[in-house]
Amino acid sequence: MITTMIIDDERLARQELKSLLEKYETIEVVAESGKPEDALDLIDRENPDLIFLDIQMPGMDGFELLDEIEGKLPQVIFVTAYDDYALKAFEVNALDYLMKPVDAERLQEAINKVSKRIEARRIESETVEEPSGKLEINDQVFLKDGEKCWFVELEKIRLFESEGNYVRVYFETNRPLILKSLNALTDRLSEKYFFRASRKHIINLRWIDKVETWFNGGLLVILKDGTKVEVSRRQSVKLKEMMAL
Amino acid sequence: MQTSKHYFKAQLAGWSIYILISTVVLIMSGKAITMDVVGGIYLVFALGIVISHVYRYIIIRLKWLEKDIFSLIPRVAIASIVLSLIFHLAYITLGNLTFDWGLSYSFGDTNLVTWGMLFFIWNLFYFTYIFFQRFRKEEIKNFQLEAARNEYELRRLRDQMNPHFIFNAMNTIRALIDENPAKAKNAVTQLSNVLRSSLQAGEDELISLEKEIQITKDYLEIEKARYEERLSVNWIINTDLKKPKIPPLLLQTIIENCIKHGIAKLPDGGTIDIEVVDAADAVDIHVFNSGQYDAHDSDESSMGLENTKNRLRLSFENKGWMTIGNHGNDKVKTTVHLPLKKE
Repeated sequence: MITTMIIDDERLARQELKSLLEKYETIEVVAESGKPEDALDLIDRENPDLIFLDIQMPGMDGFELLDEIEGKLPQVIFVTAYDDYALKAFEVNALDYLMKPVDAERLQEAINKVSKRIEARRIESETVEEPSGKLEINDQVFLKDGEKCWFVELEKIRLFESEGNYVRVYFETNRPLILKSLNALTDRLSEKYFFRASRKHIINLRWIDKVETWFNGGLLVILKDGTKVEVSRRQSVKLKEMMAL
Repeated sequence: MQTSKHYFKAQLAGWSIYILISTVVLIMSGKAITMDVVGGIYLVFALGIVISHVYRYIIIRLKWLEKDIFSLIPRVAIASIVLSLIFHLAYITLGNLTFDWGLSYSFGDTNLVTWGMLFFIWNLFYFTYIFFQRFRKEEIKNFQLEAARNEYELRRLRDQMNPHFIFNAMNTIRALIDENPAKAKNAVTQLSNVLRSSLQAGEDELISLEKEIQITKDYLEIEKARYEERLSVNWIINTDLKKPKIPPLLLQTIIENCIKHGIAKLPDGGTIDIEVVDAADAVDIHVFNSGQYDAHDSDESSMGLENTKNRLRLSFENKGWMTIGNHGNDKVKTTVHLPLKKE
């Protein structure tokens, strides 16, 4: 069963989508919301697998709403009336989106795609011993930097680097700057996979290639892409303990 | 490049035709074919090409190619005379030097007329070609202009029909078909009315206020179906609507902006109040909508506003106008002043 939520400020638009979703036995619409603020609470409570999200809404648009989600990010299918200028500006290929009025076939395709992803995630998360309530390696996050945004699986992120009030996120060839603190991120990321190397860096343990000794008993971590990250003395002790089984 | 390739071919071909005709005439006349006579024909060929080529160079430098036909005729006539004189002198000089013809420089020679004819024909061909080229270029430019105009017209139509509105309306109607078929039917008719008016908007400069208000009401009915309890509309009409005229879709556009910048941005929606009242030799429309006006809002909307102001000014000889501003801290007031046209 895929728990689903519909967020659109127009009741009839939600109604229309619900009636289209009726024929899918695997989709269960657990909640709907016409106000983005309420939608955030509902997402927190219901923790849906999937949301259908309108882009233009009063108070907060669809992208701002995603940016506000604190917990696990559900799969997202955007629904918009017109070839939205906003969609063009984003990494469209990474997003699933539907045009209103929704075409049944396009909806089927989008649902197939999303179902596969949800299924894959479930199998992966079964191997995780106990859910910690934190973001695991196979969870995805929504990153927004100016006009661009991405959905990224955490396993693809090699490094978080603090820059003033911002954090630079390194994944693939992208390095967006997001308005978050490194401390807040440390609290949200699972310690099994992410390690606070110093005041400035969080590294993805799966991306470590080599570890070398450094000055004053510190360590130097070399990531698989060649990036070198210095580990503070205090954290080096911790890292050594973790690496020593 | 293309031109000069054609030019050289034409030069060779033209002067070769001269050789051909002269030879035929010579054979038919039954005169003895001597070295001198044949040499003379080839001398004309060589001189013709050289002199006309220099002449073309001068034409291009003097920018004759850009001149119109009437200023060209006297110039080309004089040029033909000058050319035949130069040709005459060169022909005699070279003829005497290479063939020992022992000709005098006398201008009474009938050859002068022949040379003049040759250059006249040369000019005729050359400028015909130039004019033909110029005509073709002009035609291409006209096509491009027309294409640009069509594109503008298309864009104007598309902007007028606001795809966001259309597709949201379609989505609303789709949902209504299940929930309230009677309302869905009405919505289809109302949407058709609005679309028809959009398509016809370019045809008339002014339509009656009565008709414009009918279109605006149809438009608002669709938006009410979409926004439901989030949009309420009140009309107060205190004047005869038959007489006043308004540019088509002007009021509808203003109301559309009230929704786009006001109602659609408010989570709980709001109201639109429209008052139509008499003024001195004019009718004023006051529109109050929930929201706040921000003069620094997007360029797109301020451009639309400018456009509306311009349409009013142009349609009513500078006597039509509109104003927009905040009314209290939760309303925006827009006023449109429509002068009554004297019949």
